[in-house]
Amino acid sequence: MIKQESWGYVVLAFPIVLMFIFLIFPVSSVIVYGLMSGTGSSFIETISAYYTQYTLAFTIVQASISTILALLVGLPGAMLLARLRFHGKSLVRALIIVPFVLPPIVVVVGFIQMFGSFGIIDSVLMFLTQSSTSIMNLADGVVGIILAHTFYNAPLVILLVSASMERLNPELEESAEILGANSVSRFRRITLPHILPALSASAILTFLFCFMSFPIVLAFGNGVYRTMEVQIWNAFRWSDYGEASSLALIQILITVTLAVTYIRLGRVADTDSGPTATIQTASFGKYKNWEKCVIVTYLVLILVLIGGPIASIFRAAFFDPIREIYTFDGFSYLVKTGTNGGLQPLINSLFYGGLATLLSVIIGIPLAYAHKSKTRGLPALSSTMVLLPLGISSITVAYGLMTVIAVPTGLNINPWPIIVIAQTIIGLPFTARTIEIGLKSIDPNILDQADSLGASRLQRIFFVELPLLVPSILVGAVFAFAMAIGEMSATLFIALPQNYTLAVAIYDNLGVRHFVQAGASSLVLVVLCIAAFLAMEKISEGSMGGTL
Amino acid sequence: MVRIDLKGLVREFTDGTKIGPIDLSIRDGELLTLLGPSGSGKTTTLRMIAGFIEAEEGALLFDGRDMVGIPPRERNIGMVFQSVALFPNMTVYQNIAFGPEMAEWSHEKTVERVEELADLLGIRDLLFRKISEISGGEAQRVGLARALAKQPALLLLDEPLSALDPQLRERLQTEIRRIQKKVKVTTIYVTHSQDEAFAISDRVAIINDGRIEQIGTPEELYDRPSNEFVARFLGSGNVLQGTVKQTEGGELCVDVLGVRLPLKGECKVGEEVKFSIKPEDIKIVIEKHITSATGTVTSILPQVGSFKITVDFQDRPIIVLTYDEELVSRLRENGDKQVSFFFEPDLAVILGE
Amino acid sequence: MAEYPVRRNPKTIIVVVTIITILIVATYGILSFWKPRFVVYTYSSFMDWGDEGAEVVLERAFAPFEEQYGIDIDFVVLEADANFIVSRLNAEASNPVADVVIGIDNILILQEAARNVLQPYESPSLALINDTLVNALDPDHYLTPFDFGLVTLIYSMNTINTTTHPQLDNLTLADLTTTELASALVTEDPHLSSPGLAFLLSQIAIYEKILDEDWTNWWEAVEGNIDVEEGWTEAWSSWSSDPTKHLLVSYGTDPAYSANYLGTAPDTAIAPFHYQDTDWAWMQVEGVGLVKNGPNPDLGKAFIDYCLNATVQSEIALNQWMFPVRTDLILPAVFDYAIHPNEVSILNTLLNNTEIADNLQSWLDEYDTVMTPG
Repeated sequence: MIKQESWGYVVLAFPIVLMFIFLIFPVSSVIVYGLMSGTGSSFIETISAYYTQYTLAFTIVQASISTILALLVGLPGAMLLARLRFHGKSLVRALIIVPFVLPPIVVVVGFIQMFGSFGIIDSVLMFLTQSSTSIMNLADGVVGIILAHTFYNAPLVILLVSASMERLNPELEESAEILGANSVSRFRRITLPHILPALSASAILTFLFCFMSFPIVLAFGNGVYRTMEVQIWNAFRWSDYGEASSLALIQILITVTLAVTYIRLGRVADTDSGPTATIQTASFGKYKNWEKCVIVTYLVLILVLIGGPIASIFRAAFFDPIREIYTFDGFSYLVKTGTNGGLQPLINSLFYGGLATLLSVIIGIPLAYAHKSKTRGLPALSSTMVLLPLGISSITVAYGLMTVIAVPTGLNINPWPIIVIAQTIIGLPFTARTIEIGLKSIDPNILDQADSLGASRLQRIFFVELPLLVPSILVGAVFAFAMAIGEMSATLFIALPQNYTLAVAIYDNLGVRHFVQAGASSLVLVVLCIAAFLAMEKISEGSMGGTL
Repeated sequence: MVRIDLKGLVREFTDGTKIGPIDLSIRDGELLTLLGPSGSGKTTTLRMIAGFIEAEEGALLFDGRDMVGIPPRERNIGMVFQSVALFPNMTVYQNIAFGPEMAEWSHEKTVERVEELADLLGIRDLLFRKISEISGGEAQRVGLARALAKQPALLLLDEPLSALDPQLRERLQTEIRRIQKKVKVTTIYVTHSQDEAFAISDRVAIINDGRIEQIGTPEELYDRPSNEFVARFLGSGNVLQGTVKQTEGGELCVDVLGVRLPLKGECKVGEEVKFSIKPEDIKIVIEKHITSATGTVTSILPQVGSFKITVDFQDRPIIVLTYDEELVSRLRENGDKQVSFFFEPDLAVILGE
Repeated sequence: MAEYPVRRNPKTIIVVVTIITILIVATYGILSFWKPRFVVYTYSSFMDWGDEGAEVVLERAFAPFEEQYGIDIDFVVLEADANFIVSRLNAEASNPVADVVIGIDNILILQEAARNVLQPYESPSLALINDTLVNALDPDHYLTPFDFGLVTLIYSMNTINTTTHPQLDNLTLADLTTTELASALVTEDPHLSSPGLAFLLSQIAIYEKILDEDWTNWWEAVEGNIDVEEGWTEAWSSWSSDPTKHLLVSYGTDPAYSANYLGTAPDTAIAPFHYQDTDWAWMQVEGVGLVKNGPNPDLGKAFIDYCLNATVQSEIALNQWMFPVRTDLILPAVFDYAIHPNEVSILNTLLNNTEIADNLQSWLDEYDTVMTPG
């Protein structure tokens, strides 16, 4: 290979330096300060406290149960998506990622509407039993937390595993069939080993996301059920920096272990053969009757669990459960200016989200290049940088950014740049990974051609590489945008009232039971997410399966 | 147009494979083919000339100027790969115009050049198509036009035709040859197909294990393979080995598996020699001659205008080509399949190591 | 024949995109540019419970001050409780934005974290108010009293009353341990809400000092039934919208609020704890404090002095629904429905400040341990 020019190193180092300044340095200063300064509980006090152990245990147990449920719900969906031939498959594939990128606080709204007391299911039950009191409230406590986590992550399992199934060489299965293997042993011997890396990768990611879960647990946990993240939030609010730092440290140790495992599995999955065009698919009519029953039952379940909360956000935007009337109050809130209006948060959400998206792409592209670089250590460094935000408590990041960046520079007076930075960091793993995959799929011969035709490095990037990367950049941008507008915890921590975003506004409205206002704001976020993903699907022609 | 000299070019890879040292000269305006089996290092050699792979030792001279360390974009080359690698985000016109545009030609000059090449290659009506809308053969023509557009001094073609079907491949071979002669660009062509190499080249360099085995015109290589590898690879080779028993004024008598065969050459008595004899130079007779070699016919395959006969000579297959239909029908009737074969001593080539 | 496209120079595109982006960011930056002002940090709902809303009330109360000093006061209303404000002040300690903070109460000021970010200031206006309030809040003058109230239980007379539940007249904590009343009780998370913490300390005071019993027993008895909401606003919403929630940990002024809202007699009543033949309630005193190293310390001090003016203090009753610390002011008539400090025994007297300061963290930890399921 031609030697890397020195300006190339500058470009590749740029995102890594930024991540050091805006992620590693703030987080480590917070942790070191918290552990060393002696304010609040010490590390030993923290870990020996019963409620810490309980929180840790609860965090792990709920994450495990959620993961198992997400796998159970997701696996059949993955098989269907890989094997069932139907119209609009690419559309389904595009939409199925939507739950995963919905803002957690919006999911909370949808869950309360669907599964909560006086929600859709409860209303149906009340009507059936002619009861006037609420019968069932699944949008609360442990059940609510686990259901919401399943809602979130089953789509992830479906996408990752179905992508892997589609790469399975059908000849393998055919020859197994000829050799007399029945469908169970065929699945166990052929399919399962093949999809195992994807299955484990999705399990680890799911576990990681549930482990780090914040808004859902805050909303459904009633202060009693706490994840580590919620307890870190409490500790910071209580100015117990010792406890916050100790918990953040424990959290990082666990997530880093998971992340390393994930990278290892990812390496295995990378060596998979490419997608086979000849994947065995069958149309619905080809299935036996009992199989049809199973498929239909499953689809109904998915529709209720995953479609239900999203659909009920539409109802939540118009229906006021307290006054029991349909109203447009929610939407008039959204166009209302002033301190109690939703317009400022809406504008803030779009502005911060837009900027964070732009930054994620600008940082994500060199990060992806660094990952491809032949320079020793650079790829490992960049993939660590990409994964770190997934495993570091966003509240710790927010606190770090506040104390280390915002306060000394005086930005805390108007901290919107800090919010944008926090949102960028949180969306970056998805953007960088998508662009990295896009970069990998460019035929190296094309780049050599550009070189041989006399294109300079810059010309090659602008005329050849970037145009070819456009689909992945768009996918990455949509992910970044979705993550940014959905981000709540860091924003809540950093923002002054004039900086509140729609996600924060939803949280506030929920707290004071302004359900239509929360519903209408949620609807705006849902529509933004769905529109973004549909637009992207049109442009990128379904190249986002491998994003995670 | 440029003259290329490779002087002791060496590149060693971390997996232990080593290319070179390679010494090779390509004359101005010549089409030279690097021919060899897959893994022989021909593509690596080409990529060293292009500059995508840096040589570790030796010199690479373009008209006497050392190019080692100069990036590909400054070497003034045009390349066509097997996978063509057209820019999928551009139209046919934009692909062809890419080189001139990078060289900052004026728009008028670029258009003129693109149209000229498009006419030359018969792709004028494709210029506004997207890359996804053209066929494989058209893609190769576009690739060639793109490589030639900025008038490179050197054209590098890396198995450009091997993904195409045989008929199309043959047509494009002629076309490449025609165009190369017309624009007189020095060209290095890489292929593993002997037919292609012989059809297209001024000269062919046979490459094996990272080294050049022999360079020459197709006729020279075919008639006078310099070693066993070349003889076998070019299929000119029934290669036999024997001990020199007698020499007399350039005439030898060699003992091959107990049969004495006459050859011509300068050797000493007792020396082990390898020689090759082309299939069409061997004659078969059904009548047994005590003095000549005998064997068993194991197969007779009809080919275009000839028959390919395999004779088992003491467990060694000897390939014979004949045009004699009468002989073939007699062979088919012949019960014990035993035949004698012989050849003119001066048609056999003694091979070097 | 179509035109042959001309390749555009990427530099132009990049420059254009960059300029547009910079313009948008700059516009937003300029529009939201923070002009140096006088900043007061306070919690959500500060002075926001009247008919007019906080904006109007604060403007009316503080306009003379703004005029006198030629400044704009920027009330930064953080959507959180005073704890969070203290946490934020800590984060900003090296370069504070705020000059003054309103809303830290007599429990929170015992925390080192709160004292660390405040500058003691003994206002000359203290002469206008009763010494007991100063001492109840903070004898060290980190805070100057602003308003006060009694934290107690309230119930809605529409759902329960002393006929259905005679124990409401002489309510004890033990009465609340029945499943019926425990699941009808809404309180606030003591970590995140000052009335919630006041309730916890009330309960501890009663158990440890009056009953001489382990205070955690009570929480063990109600755990699983009691509704602990995040903050007072959330608790109020839960109590007012859910017909099964009868009792709320709230303020002794709530009947007055109810009467004012309804224009008739209140539908909200108070159920203070009754022990040793007397009613008990926790007194919460909220103060205004000078932020340490704040940008405008002199203005800050003037502001604190001004807070004790009648102009400000007279707004407290109907907009904050607390008692103004200026006891010489005449209270609105509806305040007759509120319980006044002289009608109850103050639970705070059972726990001295040192005791609270020393034990608060461990009490909260114990609370967590008890309330943690399993």
